[in-house]
Amino acid sequence: MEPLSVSQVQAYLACPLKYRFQYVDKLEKPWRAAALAFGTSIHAGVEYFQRERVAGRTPDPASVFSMFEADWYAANLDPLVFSGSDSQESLAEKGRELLALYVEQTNGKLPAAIEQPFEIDLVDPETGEDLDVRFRGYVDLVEADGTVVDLKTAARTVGQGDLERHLQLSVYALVAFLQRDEIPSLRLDVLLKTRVPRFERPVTTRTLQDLSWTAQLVRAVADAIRDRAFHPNPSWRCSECEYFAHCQAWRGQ
Amino acid sequence: MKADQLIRRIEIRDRNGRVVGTRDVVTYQRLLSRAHDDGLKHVKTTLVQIPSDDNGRTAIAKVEIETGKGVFEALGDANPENVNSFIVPHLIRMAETRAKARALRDAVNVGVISFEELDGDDSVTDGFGPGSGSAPSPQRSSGGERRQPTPSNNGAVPMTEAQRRYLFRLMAGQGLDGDAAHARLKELASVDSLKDVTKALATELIDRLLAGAEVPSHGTAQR
Repeated sequence: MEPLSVSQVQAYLACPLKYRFQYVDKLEKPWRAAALAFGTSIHAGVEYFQRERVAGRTPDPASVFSMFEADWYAANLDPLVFSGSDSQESLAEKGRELLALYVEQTNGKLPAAIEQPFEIDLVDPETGEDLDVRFRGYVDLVEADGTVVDLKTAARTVGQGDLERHLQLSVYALVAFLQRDEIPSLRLDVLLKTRVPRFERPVTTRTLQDLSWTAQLVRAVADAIRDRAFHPNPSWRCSECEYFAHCQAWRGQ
Repeated sequence: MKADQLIRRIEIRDRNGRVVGTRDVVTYQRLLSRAHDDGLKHVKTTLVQIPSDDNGRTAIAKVEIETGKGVFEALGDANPENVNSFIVPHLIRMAETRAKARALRDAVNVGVISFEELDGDDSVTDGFGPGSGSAPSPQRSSGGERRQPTPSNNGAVPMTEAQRRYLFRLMAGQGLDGDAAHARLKELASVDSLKDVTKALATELIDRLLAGAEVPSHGTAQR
């Protein structure tokens, strides 16, 4: 089995049939959700900003906006589906506001690493059991003190419960533990697309038991994929699923 | 040879040479030595795919290894996007080495990735991608996997979304935004529509823009 990525695990958990359409059948998506493309463009602006800082420069907000806008323009060359009153222009403006906030409030600590890749053989951290899963991904940002940071754009505040169960952070903590034998501090940098944009940075961590649970979850997903267990998972997400038509035609085959 | 002697920890450095992490790897040399210890009988290599513009210049090699413990097979691939720039002229050999390393890892029961299987600069520097330096980075999809491009109607692999977005960020680094960047890219690619740009051509355009060296520090090259 090819290495499994964090997003593949998330995709499978959200809907196994959609996972199959996307990763096994590799069906072309007829459109993309604008919110996802927007998040990617924000990521591009943030990454540029942080790389400049690491390189010893002080990027001005205009250059950060420029990088975001270039990416957003390119994203819009594909069909995007906007929700509510969003449009290419309104999200471009929102993106500039969010990035201005990020630049303004991100001072002091320099990141130690940005977009740090990992690829590991998954092991249960409690028992040492080899889980027979090769796992890979990228960590958004690691600070000098080892704090692992994931960046998100979101429509609403991330609650404490969501933070504690945030799969990406759990995975990052698991990987850090397997690589360095210590559980890092975790932070979710959330740029909120509220009417007045906000930037929240809740901090959390994980226990060894949490990491073992996460490792076993990833293994369970990997096993299910190997077994080709690709059933649909009807939910509110279906109405915005790119593969809705394919799903409607599905009859268990 | 003991298992712990097979594995060594390499430092992951950023473009400034600063150590930002470590990674456990095995080397091909040590895997081979271990396989000989295990009664290596033969190594058979087959070139499955010759690199060309139609396949994104991807070389694929298949290797079969027999030791006293059985027969082990593996595939290895190499293309300009997943090797160090110095290796680009030697894609077939790198594909073969990677295949052999994978097969050897199975044969000697080592789960740790081999140094030779790493994706060039991005694995041994800081993960900022080959050619790190100061160019904008290609966008990964959220969570980190690389998207698999699908062949277009004429059989050529089309430019990926990540490449397109990266090209526009490179253009922004040169002061060209929006429609002006769009027009310039079509001109550079000699196409009427960016949908006609193949993955291989996009790679070439990226290389050309990076080589232009007018790109200020805006991230990294494509993965």
